[in-house]
Amino acid sequence: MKDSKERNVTGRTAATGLAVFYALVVLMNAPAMEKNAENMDYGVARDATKALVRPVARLSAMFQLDFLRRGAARIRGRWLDQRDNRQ
Amino acid sequence: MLFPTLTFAVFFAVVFSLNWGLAALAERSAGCERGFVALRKLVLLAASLVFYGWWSWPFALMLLASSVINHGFALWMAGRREPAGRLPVALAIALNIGVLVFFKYTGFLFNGAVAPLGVKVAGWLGRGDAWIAFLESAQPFLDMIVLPVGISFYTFQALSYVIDVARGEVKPARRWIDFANYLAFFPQLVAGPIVRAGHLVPAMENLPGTETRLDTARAGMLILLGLIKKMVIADYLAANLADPLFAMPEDFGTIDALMGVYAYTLQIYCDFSAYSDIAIGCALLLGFEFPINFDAPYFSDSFKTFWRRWHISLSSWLRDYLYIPLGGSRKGKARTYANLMLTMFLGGLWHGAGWAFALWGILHGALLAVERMLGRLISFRPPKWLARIFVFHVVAFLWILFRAGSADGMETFKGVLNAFRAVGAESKLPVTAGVAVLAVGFALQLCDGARLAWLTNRVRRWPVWVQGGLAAVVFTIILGLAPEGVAPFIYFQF
Repeated sequence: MKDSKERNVTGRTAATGLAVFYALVVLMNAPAMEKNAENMDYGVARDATKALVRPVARLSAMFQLDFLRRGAARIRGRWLDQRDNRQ
Repeated sequence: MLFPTLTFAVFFAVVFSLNWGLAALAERSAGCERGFVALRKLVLLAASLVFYGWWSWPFALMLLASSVINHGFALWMAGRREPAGRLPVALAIALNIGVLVFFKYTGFLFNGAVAPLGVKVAGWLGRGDAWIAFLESAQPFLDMIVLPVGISFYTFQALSYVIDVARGEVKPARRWIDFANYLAFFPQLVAGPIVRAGHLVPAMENLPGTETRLDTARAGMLILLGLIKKMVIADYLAANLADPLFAMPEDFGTIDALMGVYAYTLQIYCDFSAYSDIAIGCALLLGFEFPINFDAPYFSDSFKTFWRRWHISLSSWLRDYLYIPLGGSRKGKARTYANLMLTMFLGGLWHGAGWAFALWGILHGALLAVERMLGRLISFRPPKWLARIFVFHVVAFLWILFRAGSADGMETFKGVLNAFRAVGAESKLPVTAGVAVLAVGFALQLCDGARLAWLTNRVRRWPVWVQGGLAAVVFTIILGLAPEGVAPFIYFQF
């Protein structure tokens, strides 16, 4: 069997993986990113972030691409954020 | 700039693209390749300065000045041998330690030692009022001193460089920029690992080219593991278990005290090893390999093993540049124990300017000394599982002191000890979720070192776009599970 280290890739190929990673992260988290942008201080950065993220957030919401993020947040809310089981 | 933020994600994408883009240009352009290599080095240095300057530009310039001065010392002492080489190395050590002491220990030395001692002496001399007036006038100056993030880490890297050059173990960097890139390299700049010059300076001199094979599987797994440790486990343990206990220990009973102490024990491991994991992963993606910094420390069955597995880069630094030059174990038993105590005392003070940190270090030194002594006197060895439980609990107990040292001092320490006595008090912390997260935090040590090699080998066989897609899915789940906002890493304050 070949050593799996032979499967290591060049910087150029790694860039493909990184691009896929960034693209999917933005698609799956765009609604949350838009919400975070709402909480930023008023100014150019806030406006620019909102303008960039809004179209992606719409696309993400349309195809329910943020289901993983919402599901994980629901688990957090149900299990992790309970302050005291007796209350 | 914090690792788990959108800002860093954008920053890293830009640096990654420039790094490999310039590497490709350097190899394609015949005749101008040296120019592109120089430009790539400049880009790496600029990236590190932007990363550091995000907190404070003046301190980024101080880091740059440190690189110029230390490289100057290295060139001065290159080729010299004792006694001719003693002056530059002594000056370099004095300057680096002096800067560290000024920023980190001036307030502690003044308020913790000089002021109380001075009050007594001035009282005997009948000059108490004058001394108090002096203290009041000095306080605004002390309040102005701000601790530069990561100064303890990069000072130790600079010291290892000049000392290794003086010893003849390492050659001075060919160019200043190579040393500056070693000292300021952003993945490990503010919280380690403390990488040795012999390891990283040659890599900075001959930057990895496009033919370099990147272990994206290992890099991705380390980064995701670090994000889970920090964003899901450490931040949860801090907000829900450790912080409430250490803020008001008098409100809690035995079970909560135990949970809180376990929580801080695992929080500090998850928090700090997370930084190291992410740093190693990011460096791998840029073509640089760092040594591991944590290797399942809470599975240790002796204190000696614990220090070989916890913050390995600092422990080995203290061993090579302090313990061994002090004589190590070569000058008799008594001297060995004294060297252990002194090394750990200074190691404790390295973590923070406070008596609690010093005491924490001394106690660890004493444990190492006693363990060494008992190992020679008694042939009986307890079962490994029992030794592991014992070592874990002693280390966890000493973390109370460490945490108190970084917060409200000894009162917090006493408060937590009192909380242990309140047997039968109703638990106010989230027990079920807390125990589950503690268990996961403890189990994450199974991913340290080479323990996940079987999984890395499997992931390595997948196409890189599949690796990227899967990493995006895991990262999204981490973001969903993590509380809003990112707390700074604990070791930033050291």
